[in-house]
Amino acid sequence: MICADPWGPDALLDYWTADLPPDEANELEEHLFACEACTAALAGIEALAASVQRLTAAGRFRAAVAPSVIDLLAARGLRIRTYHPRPGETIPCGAAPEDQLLVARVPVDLRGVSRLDLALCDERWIERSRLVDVPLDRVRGEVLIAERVDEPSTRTANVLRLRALAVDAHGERELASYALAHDPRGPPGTP
Amino acid sequence: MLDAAYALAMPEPEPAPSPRLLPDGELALRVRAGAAGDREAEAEVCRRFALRIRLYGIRHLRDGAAAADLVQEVLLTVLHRLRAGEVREGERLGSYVLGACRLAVSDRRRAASRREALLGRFGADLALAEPEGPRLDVDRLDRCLDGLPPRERAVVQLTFFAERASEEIARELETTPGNVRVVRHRALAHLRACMGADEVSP
Repeated sequence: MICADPWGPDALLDYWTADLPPDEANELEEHLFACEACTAALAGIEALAASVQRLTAAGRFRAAVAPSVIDLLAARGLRIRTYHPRPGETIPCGAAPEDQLLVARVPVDLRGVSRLDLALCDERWIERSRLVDVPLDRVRGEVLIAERVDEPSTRTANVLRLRALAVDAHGERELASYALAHDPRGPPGTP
Repeated sequence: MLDAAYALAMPEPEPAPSPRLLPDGELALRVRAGAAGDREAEAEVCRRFALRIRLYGIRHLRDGAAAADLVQEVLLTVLHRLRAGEVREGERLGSYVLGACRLAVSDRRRAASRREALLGRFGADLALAEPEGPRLDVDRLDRCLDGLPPRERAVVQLTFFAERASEEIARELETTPGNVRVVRHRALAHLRACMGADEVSP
C-alpha cells in the first residue's frame, strides 16, 4: 500500500476540517478514491477525531480549557462540579461520587492582557510547572481549569496553588494568586 | 496412449487471480462478466471502497450513522451498475464511486422502496462492506492529549469535539483562522509523535 504521490498530513487535516479550498478538496477526493494509502492516512485522522470526541465527552481531560467546550459539555448533561476560586484566598473543593468533571472558574482581570500563563506552584509558591498561553474568556473575565475526577491527585488531600501571569514583550507580571484545597472525602460539607 | 501423453503435456489452467490483486478496471470486468453473481469480486468492490465512502460521508454529512447509510446506498448503486455493464470506464471505478457519493449526498431523499428492492438483491455482499478503519490506543491518546500545550489542546477539542469551524475557533481564541490551522497542524504532529506515527497515520 504505497502512494507514488501522497498528500501530506497537513493537507489531509485541512480537508477533514473543511479548510482546503474547494478545487483542492475535489482534487484530493479524486485521489482518495484511487489511493488506498492516502485513504488509510485520512482514516487515521478520522479515528483520532472520533477518539478525541469520546474522551472529551466523557470528561477525560484536564488543565486549561476553552470556555465553549465546558458550555457544550454542560449542555449535553455531563455532571460538572464548578468552583470559583478568589484571588488571595484558599477555597475548599472536592468531587462527589456522581461528578464527572471538576472545573475551576478562575476570575482574572484580563484588561490589557494578550497572553496569560498559569504557574502551578508548591506550598512555598515556587513554580513547578506552567500552562502557557491559556484560552481566555473575556466575556466572563475568567480562565477555566478542568480536573478529571479519575486523576490520582483527587484521591489525596492536596492544595493546588496557581499564579496568573500576564506575559508580553516586556516580561511577565503577576495578576493574582489562588489556592484550591482538595478534600478526597468530597465537596465541602461532606461528612 | 497418445491421448494420455498429450494430456500430460497440456499446461494446467491458471487459477483466476484473487480479486484483491486486481486493478479497478479488471475488477469491474469480473463483476460485469459474472452478472449472475461473482460474489468474490463484488465483495472486493465493497471492501475496497467502503472505507472511502464512509470517510466521504463523515466529512460531508458530519454524522456517523448517515455515513454508514451512505456506504450501503452507494455500494448498492455501484454493484447494480457494474452488473448491468453501465460503468463504461472500469479503470476509473474510483471516480465513478466518488460521483455516486456526490450524487447521493446532494440527494438524500431516495425512494425507500427502491432501496429495499436493491437490499434484497445485494444485501449479503453488503455484510462484507463493514469498513476496516484503524484502531487507536485510546488510553495512550488520553495521555498524549494531556501533554499538549493548552492552546493546541483547545484547538483540538474545539475542532473535533465542539466541531467548530476555524473562523469560530479563531474568534474564541482571539487569533486568525490561519493561525488556528497552524496550531492544529502542530497539535496533530505532536499527537502523532507521542503515539507513534503508525497509530495515527497508518
